[in-house]
Amino acid sequence: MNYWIQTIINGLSMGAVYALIAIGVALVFSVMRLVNFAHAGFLMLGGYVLVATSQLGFGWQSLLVLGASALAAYLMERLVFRPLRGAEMMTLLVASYSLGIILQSVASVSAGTRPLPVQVPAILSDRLVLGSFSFSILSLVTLAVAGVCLVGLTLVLKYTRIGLEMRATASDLDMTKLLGVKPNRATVAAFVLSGVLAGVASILLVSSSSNVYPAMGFNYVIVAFIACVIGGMGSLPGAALGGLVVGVAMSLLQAVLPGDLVGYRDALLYFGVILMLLLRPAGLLGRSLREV
Amino acid sequence: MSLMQKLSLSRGVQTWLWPMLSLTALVILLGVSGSPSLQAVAQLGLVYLVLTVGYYTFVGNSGIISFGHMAFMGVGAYTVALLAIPVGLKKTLLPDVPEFITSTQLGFVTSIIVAGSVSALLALVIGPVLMRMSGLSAGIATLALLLIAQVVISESEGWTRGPQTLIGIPSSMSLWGALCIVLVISAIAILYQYSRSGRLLRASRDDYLAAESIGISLVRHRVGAFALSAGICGAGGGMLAFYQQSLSPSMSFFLAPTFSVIVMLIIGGMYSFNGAVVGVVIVSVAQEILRQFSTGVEIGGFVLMLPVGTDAIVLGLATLVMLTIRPGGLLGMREWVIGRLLPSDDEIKNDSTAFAEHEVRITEPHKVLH
Repeated sequence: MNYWIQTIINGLSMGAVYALIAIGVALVFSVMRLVNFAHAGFLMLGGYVLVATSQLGFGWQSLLVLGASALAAYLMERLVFRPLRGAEMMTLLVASYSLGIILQSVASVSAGTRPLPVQVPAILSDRLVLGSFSFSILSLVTLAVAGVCLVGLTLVLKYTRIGLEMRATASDLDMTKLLGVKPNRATVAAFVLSGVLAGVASILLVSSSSNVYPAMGFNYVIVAFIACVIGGMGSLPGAALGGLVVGVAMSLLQAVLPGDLVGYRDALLYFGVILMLLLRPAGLLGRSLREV
Repeated sequence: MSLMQKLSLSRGVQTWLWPMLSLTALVILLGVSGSPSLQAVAQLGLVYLVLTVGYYTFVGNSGIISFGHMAFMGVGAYTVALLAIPVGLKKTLLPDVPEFITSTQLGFVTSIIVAGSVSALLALVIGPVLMRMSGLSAGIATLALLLIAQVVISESEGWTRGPQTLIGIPSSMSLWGALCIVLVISAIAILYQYSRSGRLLRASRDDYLAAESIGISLVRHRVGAFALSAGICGAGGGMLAFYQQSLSPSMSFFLAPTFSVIVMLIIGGMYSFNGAVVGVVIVSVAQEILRQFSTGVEIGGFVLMLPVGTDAIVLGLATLVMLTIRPGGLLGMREWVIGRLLPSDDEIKNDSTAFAEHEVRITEPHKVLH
């Protein structure tokens, strides 16, 4: 019994990170119908900022990571995606895929393709023992941080003017423009928020893996896409739920699958995504994909 | 043969003839006078031409994005490995493979044909499921397909040696062999493009609702195009196996060619066969030049050396610029046609109006004389 509870807690903590990434993807998707492969760039960037600033304290490092990913997100919107706004779905997909490859190649050109070690505070790798349970500190911190981020994001979206503008842009771009709201502001805000969430996620990811390499972001962004599809493309609560579902599913599959099938775990997950797209394209909480 | 079929066939022949003649001339030139390394570059270019033509056959005709076609390249490549590795080596490397496969060794052409057929069959099986999607769903589902292929190929150790490198594929591909395959495969792709099914699919690409409302069963035609393009990509994967002589199913084995064929198609023109050919030639040449620079090139006494990976950055940037300023690619929807026997596509907005316009030209010529 304890084993299963721990498996689920581990899954939830992994899922919380996926949720942060997936919410970022969903935010950008909802304001400009863009599935952003280049989101992987933020995750990787965070790791490299941690490497580059290893002399500073972890708190300062984390702040720098958030700043860097916010700036990168702003530049990405301004330089690449603003000129492409209103383009076809296919153009946007290909553009973001190319941008993702560019960022990954820039990292491998400047820092090499091999993983670089990252120093993380030792306390994160300790374990907390409560009775017969033993949790890693990192998984508890991850859950707490993700919870704070979700609450913060909800507050921003619900109670600030920019949050209102983002929600309006997401629900009806043309009507919003007619009402005199500048779409650029909302789009920039969505990108910056998604970048910051990815920055948080990258600190958490790197804290658990202790290394960073150019392709690291790609795998996680794929998982985030899966989470978005499961939760419903463009729905933020859906993305959060999808992230948690994927995390727990991965953790349970890992525990349940017999030894020679464990390697196929991810294939099962991808297969589940195709099934989801066929049987319930709207996802658990989303609108129908046919509308987008 | 009806008038319409004659027109389509004649246009197809012209679309094929001009780029393939130029390509053949170029390859003969390289084959006769080029250095061995240049010939290897040309071979790789031809392999990519097959992959891109395969990708184009689905994406260009149907207008549906796919990130998954290189899954079929992988299937084709490993099929060729299973068939073409010498018997003795095969038995020791691949213990799980049934006797009837390990005890025979097929040649270059036969194993490529089998590789293409296996991939096409696989696509026929999964096509009816995948082809119900379009737009974003199709993009994500095909990406999932690619990742499934990667996991399955690298986990089936008895069949593929898993993540280890599978060696021993003979070097049976010559430049001429590759050229012949390119000529045949591009002819097949063109025949499809100008066939009734290809025309219907292109009409649906340009106006989905109009095509469906006149009763075209799109899923069936999409599955057909999907299987054909998967077969071509499988054959291209087979050629790649012969070219590399070894295979390893890393993530980049699948993702690098996915990126390359997309770049090639975007630069040349997503909806035109000649665009695909032009894109492959331009990108292959650019890739080779950048590769030369990454080993160091002497310019005016200085050695300029770009780090490995620069080519992906340059090509990615080129793609982004192209998507922003000219999303249709260099050729857009146009095909090159020798002479002006028939109206070329640049005078016609899209293929769904093409038929009507032909009719007008033939029955009421005064209407098009300005």
